[in-house]
Amino acid sequence: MTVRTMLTKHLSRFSRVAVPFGLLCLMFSLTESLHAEDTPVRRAIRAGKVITCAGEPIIDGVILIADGKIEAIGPFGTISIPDGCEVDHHPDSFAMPGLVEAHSHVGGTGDLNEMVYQTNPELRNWDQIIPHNNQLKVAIAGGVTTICFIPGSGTNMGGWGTLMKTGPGKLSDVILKAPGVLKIAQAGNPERTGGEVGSGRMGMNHVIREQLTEGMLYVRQWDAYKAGRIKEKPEVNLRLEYFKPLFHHEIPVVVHTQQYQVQQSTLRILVDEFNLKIVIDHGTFDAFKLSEEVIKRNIPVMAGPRGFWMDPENGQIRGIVAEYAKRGVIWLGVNTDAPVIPQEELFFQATMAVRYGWNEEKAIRGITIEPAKALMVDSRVGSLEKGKDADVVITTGSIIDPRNYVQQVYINGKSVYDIKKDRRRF
Amino acid sequence: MNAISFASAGRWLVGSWLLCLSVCMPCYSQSDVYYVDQLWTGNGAPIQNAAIVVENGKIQKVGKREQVAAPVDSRVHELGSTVIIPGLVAVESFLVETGDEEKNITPENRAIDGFNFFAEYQSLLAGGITTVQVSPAKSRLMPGQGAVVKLAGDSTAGRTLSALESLTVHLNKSSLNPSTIYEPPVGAVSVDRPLEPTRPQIGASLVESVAGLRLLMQSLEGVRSSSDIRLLALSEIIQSKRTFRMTAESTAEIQAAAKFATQFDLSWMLINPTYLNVKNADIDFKDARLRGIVLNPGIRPGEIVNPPLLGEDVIKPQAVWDQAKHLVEAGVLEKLAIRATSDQEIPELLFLAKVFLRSGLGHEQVLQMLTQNPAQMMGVANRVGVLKPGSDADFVVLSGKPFEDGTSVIATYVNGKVAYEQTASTKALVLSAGKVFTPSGILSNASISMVHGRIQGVGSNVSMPPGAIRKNYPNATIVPGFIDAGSELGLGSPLAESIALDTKLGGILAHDDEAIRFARQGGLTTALLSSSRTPSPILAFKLGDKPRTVKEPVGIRFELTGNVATAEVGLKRTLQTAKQYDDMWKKYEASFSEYQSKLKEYEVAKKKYDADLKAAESKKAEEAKKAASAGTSAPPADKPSEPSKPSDSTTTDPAKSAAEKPATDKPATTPIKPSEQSAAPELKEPEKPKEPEKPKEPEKPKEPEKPKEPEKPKEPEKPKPNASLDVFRELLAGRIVAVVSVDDERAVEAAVRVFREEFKVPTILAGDLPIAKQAAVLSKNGIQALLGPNLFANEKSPSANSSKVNLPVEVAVEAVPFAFQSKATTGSQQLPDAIAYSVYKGLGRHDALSGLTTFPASMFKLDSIGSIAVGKDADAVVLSGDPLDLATEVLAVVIDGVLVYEKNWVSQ
Amino acid sequence: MDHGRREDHRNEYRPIERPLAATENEQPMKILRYIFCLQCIVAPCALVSAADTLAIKGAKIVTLAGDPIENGVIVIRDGKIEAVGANVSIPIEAHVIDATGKVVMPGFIDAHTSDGLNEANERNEVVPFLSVVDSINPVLDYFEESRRNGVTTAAIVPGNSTIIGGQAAILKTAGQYVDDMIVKRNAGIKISLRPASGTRMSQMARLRRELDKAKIALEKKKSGEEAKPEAATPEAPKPADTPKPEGTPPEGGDASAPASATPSATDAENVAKGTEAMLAVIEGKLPVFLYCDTAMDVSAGKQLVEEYKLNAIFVLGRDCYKAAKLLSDRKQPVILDKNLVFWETNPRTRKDEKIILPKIYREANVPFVFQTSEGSLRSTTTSSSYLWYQAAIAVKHGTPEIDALKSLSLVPAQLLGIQDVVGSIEVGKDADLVVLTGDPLRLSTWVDKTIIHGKVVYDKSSDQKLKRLLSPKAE
Repeated sequence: MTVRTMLTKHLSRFSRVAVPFGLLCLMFSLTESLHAEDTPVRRAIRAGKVITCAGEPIIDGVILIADGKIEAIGPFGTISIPDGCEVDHHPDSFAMPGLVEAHSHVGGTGDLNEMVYQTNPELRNWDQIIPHNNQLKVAIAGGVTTICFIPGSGTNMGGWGTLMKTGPGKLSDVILKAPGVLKIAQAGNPERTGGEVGSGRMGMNHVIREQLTEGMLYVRQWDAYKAGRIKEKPEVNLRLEYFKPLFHHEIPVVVHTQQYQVQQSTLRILVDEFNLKIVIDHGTFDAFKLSEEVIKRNIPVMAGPRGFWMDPENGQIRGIVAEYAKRGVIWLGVNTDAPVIPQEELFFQATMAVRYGWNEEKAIRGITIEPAKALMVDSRVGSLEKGKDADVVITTGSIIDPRNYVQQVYINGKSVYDIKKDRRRF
Repeated sequence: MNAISFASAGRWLVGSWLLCLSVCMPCYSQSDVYYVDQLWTGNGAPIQNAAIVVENGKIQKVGKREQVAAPVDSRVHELGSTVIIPGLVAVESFLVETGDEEKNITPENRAIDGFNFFAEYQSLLAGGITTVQVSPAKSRLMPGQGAVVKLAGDSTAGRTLSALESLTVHLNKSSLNPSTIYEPPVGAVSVDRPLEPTRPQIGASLVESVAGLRLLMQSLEGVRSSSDIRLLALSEIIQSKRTFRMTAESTAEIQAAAKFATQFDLSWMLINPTYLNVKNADIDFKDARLRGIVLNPGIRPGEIVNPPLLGEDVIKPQAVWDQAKHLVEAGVLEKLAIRATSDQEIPELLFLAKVFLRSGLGHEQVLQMLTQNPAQMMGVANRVGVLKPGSDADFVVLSGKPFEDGTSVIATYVNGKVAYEQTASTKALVLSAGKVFTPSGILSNASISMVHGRIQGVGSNVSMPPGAIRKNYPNATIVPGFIDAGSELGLGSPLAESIALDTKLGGILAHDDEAIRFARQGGLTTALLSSSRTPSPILAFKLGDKPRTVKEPVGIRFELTGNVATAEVGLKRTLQTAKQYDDMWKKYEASFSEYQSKLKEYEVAKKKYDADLKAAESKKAEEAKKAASAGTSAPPADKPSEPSKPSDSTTTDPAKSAAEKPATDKPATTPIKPSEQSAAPELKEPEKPKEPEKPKEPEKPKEPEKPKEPEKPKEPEKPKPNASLDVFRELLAGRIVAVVSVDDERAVEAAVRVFREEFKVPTILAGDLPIAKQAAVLSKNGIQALLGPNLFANEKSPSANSSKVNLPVEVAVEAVPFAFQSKATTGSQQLPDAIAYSVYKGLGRHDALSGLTTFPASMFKLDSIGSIAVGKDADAVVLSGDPLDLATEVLAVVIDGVLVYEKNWVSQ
Repeated sequence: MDHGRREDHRNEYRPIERPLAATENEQPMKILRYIFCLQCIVAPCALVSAADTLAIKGAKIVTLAGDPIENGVIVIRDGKIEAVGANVSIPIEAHVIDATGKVVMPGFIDAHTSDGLNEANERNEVVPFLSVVDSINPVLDYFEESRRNGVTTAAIVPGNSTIIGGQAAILKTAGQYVDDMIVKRNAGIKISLRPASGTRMSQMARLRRELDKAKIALEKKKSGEEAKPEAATPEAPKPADTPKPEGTPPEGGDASAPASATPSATDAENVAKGTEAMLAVIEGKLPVFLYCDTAMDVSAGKQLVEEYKLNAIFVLGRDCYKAAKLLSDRKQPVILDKNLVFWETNPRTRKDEKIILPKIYREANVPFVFQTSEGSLRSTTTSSSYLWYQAAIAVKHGTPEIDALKSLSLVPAQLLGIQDVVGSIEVGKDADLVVLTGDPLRLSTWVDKTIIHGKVVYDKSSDQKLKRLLSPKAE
């Protein structure tokens, strides 16, 4: 599933601009986005049930927020709420961590693919972010507070993606991590028909391998220099700069991979050969048959947007996530590939997965802490714990249950959606 | 170093054909010698009565028959009146796998890679082509390197005369405006390894093409390090001084080609110089670097094409044959070669070349342009092009001189092995000989053309039927096929059983009868067959591989032997019964025809009556209009149609039974059927008229009476057909003959009484001495004679010494037409020799020949055979000399247009 | 060997976090191994857990190494054949398969197939640097069908719509992860003489160009090596290198890094250009699967092989029989087209003639092996293109039965250079076996069990698919 087709118009519009400008942006964004909120605000949220996604749920729990972070969390009474601190009380509602989307294209302008080159490590997509755009506004109403905003799968290496909050604010406010991930697409969409190597899987995998090798050699050069192993300073190559965090295992690769053979290549090349951190996005069709190999390597699977697969052998419907779970994959979640599935329906992906046989508690983790871990931002989001961003979603009940709905959403402690004021958005 | 690797490629190709020759050498070293009337070596005048000796696929010796000593135990091939020329060399072809190739300059391509050694090249070999040059492509500026290959042979390497013969360059329009090229680089495309854009190629105009070529040549400096495959290939071509074949048609193109060649000191060929003006052209034709000039007659055999106008004067400075002439005058004959417009025409090169005869070039000069010259300019003359000791034994056997109309390729030899052989066509055959016996006299140097088994033309200038085989026997004589008027051939063994007269022997003739095949070697083409037990029907059939009935029966065989008196009575009785039967039928036929005429009248009347009836009906209808009644009008409506039915059934039926039934049908079925059928109409006819009686009209009663009358004559007269007696009816009607064997002079008289005087049937008497004695009687009574098997008889004379009587002469002098019978199977072959003896003893040769051909044909009323004339069956005998001369041998026998026997060429 | 290394980290649990240094130094080498490693390693597969011991008794054993053994016993330990013979004692711990009345043969070998691949060819026609391993899909029908028909090893080769189509790999037909199935990673390279586009002329021209380039590169390399012998760095293991002993720790630490940095860049270039593979081809170290479509390709191919001294395996289209004689001087078997018998109209006589490939090639005394066509159910189970049937056809047309049987296993093993591991039932070889219900090549004979590395990977009794196919009532 991809939005490649609708977005291939803008050929090479800014691929060249992106590089120098990108580097500047990188520097301040990394520093700036660390303290998104300037004015210290203290607030306490008290809810009938608090699902922390870090241990047992808390009945009548309190979440104390300072400077947009969770200062303390626990059962009502165990936490002393300072004076003057406003308390939002949702007596018969659930509080849960903001939802984390592992695969989204709606963070900004829609042009996601540079179709000229097969690999585009020089491209980064936080230059096209539109904070709190309309789709994100709706997404918030669905409880989604963090998304992994990534380039499309039109080429084998679409560029670098951003982890961002869905809430309002300056670019620096919403960016959570940039570069957040590298987007790699292994088969299907990136196939080339013009005669370039890469019309098939042999070729595409070769292209990916070649590009990663180039990047890796560049990074090793610099590391060697930093470690003083080589004297002369290597030349800066802006095309390859972002490979540094990648090969230093600070960020993962988000892989557009589906079907058995393709996912096999993902494991073989990105994990076995290059030992990279990866997130299997999609992982659909018969790819779940590889679960054993996935577990061996402890690779997170963020399945979707397809929820099920028609087994040609016997015409059975197999729930993708359920099949992974059945085979013992724990590090499991879902994605929407928004706008393929509307961003706000992330919870519904989980709902359907449960319908096909996934466990409901796992499902809640699968849209919060598991993707956060997979995207390597679990220190900031994904669960309600002391020190983490105060991204809290208030619902009428378990968000998995389609009858329930989101009442209020806090991002960095600020209320960004309140159904009483803002009405339902979908 | 790259160049070296290319060169090495060339080396091994050459090397390996050497190697492979040794491989393809046949293990035996027996040699073949071919003797032929005329041999063209490929340069110089033809050799008359030539011989050529071939061993291990190579030519050992060539020369006049008497000068060439054939090695002992070598196989001798007498090719008779044929002509041998060298295998033709097609100086340019495009017999390569075609495919889309968009690059305009690909010197690295090799035509040899695109030539399919394993394909069939029969059509070319059938045109006498044994060697072709293959160019990589018809279009594109520099499509690649050509090769020279043989169209047959043992090993692919052995067939490769030159793997890298030349570099093709098309300066003509065909190479203009090439497509643009897009070549994605190998490996991932990225900012550092960007996509190469689609790029145009040179060749938008002649100027640009030539400029581009120049640049290419100049950039060859220090090319070794380059990785540009085109440059590497090109530099290798230059180093090994390979020929540039430059197609240049317009004046400008020709000049450009010449300049380009001289500038870079290339050895080159000029292809298709349509607008070349030899006189004014700024080209030194004598320059050694100019390897050859390939001219194109620009015609397509039997086709009309629109020659392109190359933006030049419509009147070309010189026609292609004049170009040739001037070039010959310029002293560069051996640089001239001829190519066809397209591959389809290559098999017709011999014909196309005739164009050059227009300007008065000699035949051998033109042939040289198809053989020696191309071989030489392509550097393969050491192996092909000229028939000389040491070269490959690639030669063509022609039915006549090259360039002569009607000459066809009989066989094509490659490496001394037959690569193509003309297959005997049953469709058309043309015989030519010094003498041809026809009814209108003896024609000299005439031909007979035979199509579909019939003679289609006779004369000194007959038109060649399509696909006809041509056989030329310069000093021979052609006579009509011989007829054995009484043989025992046909059934595998003599027929001694008595058989019903309506027996159809034609249906049971034995196919592929060895005896027949043997007999016809004597020149027999038709034989008559009957049983020795009389009376017996006589069958006339052809002695082809598949015996064919000419006519059956042609007569009835009787015997008037032993006791003449009783025999005569017996015969009379038989004939009388036959006569009665015949009269019966005659009567019936008469009355029947009468009936028919009556019937006609009846029908006329009936029609009239119907018309009246209708009129009445219509009147009625009008009256009934107020009270509309459609029902009544119905019955009369279909009545008129009905009576017509029986009437035509009766017309056809009796007609059949009268004319055909007696002749053809088996007696079993016939008796009842016809009578019934004829009876049926009688019943119907009266009733139909009755029906209409209901409407009150006076004329009706008369009408039905009329039809009754034809019934009476017919009913009793309808005779029972008897198949055997029907045969007699034929005899009595004089449509077939009676052949009566007699062994006694009184029997002759009896025969006259019975057959001539009483029953007046055409009669032939078979016998020996009695016939000779009674020859006068025969001629008086218009009886013909059938002589043999013994043509001589001993006359017992009072004087003890008996004298031999030459029977045919005795008969001939009384002007009695006569035929011969062998009364033998295989012996039938010796009939002509037997007659030859009586000719030797005084029988006129012409009479004798007539006795074997025209006499029997007319005696037995076999109109389709017996003489060589348009429309007759194509039966002929080719004789080495005069007919019926023991010194003469049979060279060939043709039956129904098929050469069934030919004196074998090969003799040990 | 790289494979061996993989085994290590595959079997023991791998921590997510690895010391950066390790990656930094080990990765390039490992990757380069993956990418350009050309020494042809024959590695054991890790299908069986070390404990497994298996014995097959009562069967007639057609070892192909010697005379058949009536009522023999095969003992298998750790996936290898430990003992075979008439009176071999069965160890107490062994699981026993009673194959009384059945026939056991070495697993069949498919010497050339493009099945099991997702795409047989890249559009780009010169891609020597690609490997089928990146496209092999273990869950494709082909592998299941192969097991069903007793094929235990297959040489998977790029398709024929190419010029230089990339590198082949030899795999066992059982396994869920391609690297576990590999017997030989770089088993050869596909070169096709059938025009992928354009004409045969340009096909040959481009082919020669690549080979010439490789020639030059080789000479450059040779001279280069003379210049600086230490150029043979771990980052660029050349085919010439002696393979490192099992489990040698990667060169890490400061010493190697600087050296490693620069040359490996050129190695990356090499990959892009595919010269490493082509060098091995030119040196005759890497066999060439040379596809000839028509007879004319055979003669052209022969020229090529002689000109460039290629180590070629001829893969023949059906038309090639016309050139069978050209191949008679080669010792190596050719790989026949899957259609062994077909009709053809003789262009000269216009008569239809029956062409019988095994007959023609035997008479030209050209040894041959077979290939299946497609791995689909259609072909291997229900059509005539599976190996034993082809062997049967050959026997029908005069090939001695034992030769036909050898051409199913031993001969292709030798042809592919894996005869030390598979191809016959001998002590020490992989326990890849086919248990047949009766005499091989008998029509009524079915594959009863297929065993790879001592593991039963197919059992007719539990083959639901076959049941469905053959007896609809079973549904």
